[in-house]
Amino acid sequence: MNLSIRGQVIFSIIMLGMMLIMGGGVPAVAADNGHKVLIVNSNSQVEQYALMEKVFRESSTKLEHSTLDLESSGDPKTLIYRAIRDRQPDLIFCIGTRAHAMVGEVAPTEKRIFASVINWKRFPVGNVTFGISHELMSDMQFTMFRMVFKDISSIGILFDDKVNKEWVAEAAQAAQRAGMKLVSHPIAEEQALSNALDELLPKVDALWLIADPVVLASRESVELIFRKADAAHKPVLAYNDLFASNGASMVMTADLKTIAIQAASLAEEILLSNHLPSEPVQTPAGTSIVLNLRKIKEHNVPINPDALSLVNKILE
Amino acid sequence: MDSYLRWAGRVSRVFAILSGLLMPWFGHASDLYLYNPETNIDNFASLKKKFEDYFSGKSALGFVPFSKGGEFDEALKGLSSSGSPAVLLISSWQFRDLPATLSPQPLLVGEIKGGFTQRKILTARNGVKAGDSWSGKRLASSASEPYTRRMLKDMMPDKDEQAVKVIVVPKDIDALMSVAFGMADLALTTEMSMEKLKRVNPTQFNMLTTLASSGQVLLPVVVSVNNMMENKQSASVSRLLSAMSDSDDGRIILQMIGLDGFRKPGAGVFAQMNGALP
Repeated sequence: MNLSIRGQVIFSIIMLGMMLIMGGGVPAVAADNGHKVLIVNSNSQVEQYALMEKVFRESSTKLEHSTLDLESSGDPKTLIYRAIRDRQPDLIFCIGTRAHAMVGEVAPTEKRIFASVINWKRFPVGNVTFGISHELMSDMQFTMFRMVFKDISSIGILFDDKVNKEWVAEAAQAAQRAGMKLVSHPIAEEQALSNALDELLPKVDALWLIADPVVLASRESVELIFRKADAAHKPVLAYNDLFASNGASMVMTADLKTIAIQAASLAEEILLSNHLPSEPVQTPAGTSIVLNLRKIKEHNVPINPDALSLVNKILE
Repeated sequence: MDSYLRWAGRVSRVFAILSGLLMPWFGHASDLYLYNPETNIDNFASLKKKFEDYFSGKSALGFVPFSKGGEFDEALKGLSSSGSPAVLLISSWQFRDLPATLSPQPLLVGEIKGGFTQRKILTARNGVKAGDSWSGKRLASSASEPYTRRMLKDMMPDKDEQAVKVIVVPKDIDALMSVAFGMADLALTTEMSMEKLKRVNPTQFNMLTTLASSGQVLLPVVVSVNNMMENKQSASVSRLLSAMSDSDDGRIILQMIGLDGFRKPGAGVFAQMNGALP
């Protein structure tokens, strides 16, 4: 091809531009109103993550959304890097522990909100990190116990002193504020579980199951707990829906839709009012309750007449 | 063959007579539509089973719950165009918004502790005053966002009800606890929920202050549409729903939707639904 000098210059500029764009050296140019949110979903095939994303979008319609699913093909950290580079978000919403951890590694200085992260305190929380925790406040839980059950005033709890000591101490104060008593029994190893249950169950009206690595060390431990509680006719109050099939009388969890709405409210506060929240991490505002009426009748545990209006799901 | 045909004819005539006699009791295969934006009823799977078990053997009524206003509105449009008879269990203020083409007729009103009205209360943490700005504030409510803003406007007409961010929570007690613990700045709940919190946890209750309250609001109402209710059918469905408080199964359903029963109120009560009260 015999180009004039002018033609060669124009051709070179075009080729250089194409190389830069394809090589990713030039960030995507888009209208920037300061309202762009990149939603990084640990796995959008997981029902609770998909629900959280859906509700977040519906509750933050003033913001512009794009999504990255970490289950897409490719290295997740590279996907995150490219998404941030290309979409230039003003805020990142991380759904799930994996998303939160990876965004924190790839882009530690980017403003982000997290939700659905188990034990968020194990991750660094700087001045750009905000979120909604996954664990309900103890005060809320005791108020709900009182709302549902007529006569339960003392609740037993087994725990590993090394892991949950401070949490249990705080929960005991919350119980007192709600007019209840928390009877705690620390155990140091799985083998001590059986004796601990034999000592604790006669002293309490119900047993509260919490996420503890020693108490719930194995499937056999879980079965033992429910077997002994059944034999003692004591209802078990649990923190995860999984225990409903084991025979928990009541399961109380944080309501996922409410968490997503709270996250949306936080995102709009940060981006629209240009105001950083004074409390970076909120506790969930909504509760979701499963009541096992069959177990409750079996243990002859009276419930308040209006308890059923508080319940999301009834098992019979 | 002839004797067979005569036999078949006799059986058919008997069947037709029986159907005609039984239809007023079993009615058409119509549905009970539930949509109440005043509460966040989330237990639809359990509720549907309970209602269907209760209706089974007593009525051909089906049960169709709605959690979203848009979907309920679409269902109403479908009823308008098809003319199919149905029964609605809805918030009293929604009655005013029902299209006239549905020919809505109120039948029963919900009941709690012998009364059929309740008040809505706007609450904040102690120290917040009614005159404070709402800009940027989070309001927790178990009712739908449109209903919540409508109530705010009624209760505090001098305030901009659009200035708050509404956080919809599953239950009234969640809304109250959210304010007590700082997840929300304001809460819109019923007076009854506040009384429950006061009874169960006075410490949390004493952290709250009342900013405003509504007038008495009718509890949810049962309405027939599309002339479902010829007299016998009307009486039959009314009896069926009124009798819920007399059986264990019926009482469980009522508790799940936050009521003690249904009853036919005195004259003039339903006129309120067309008037100023929500």
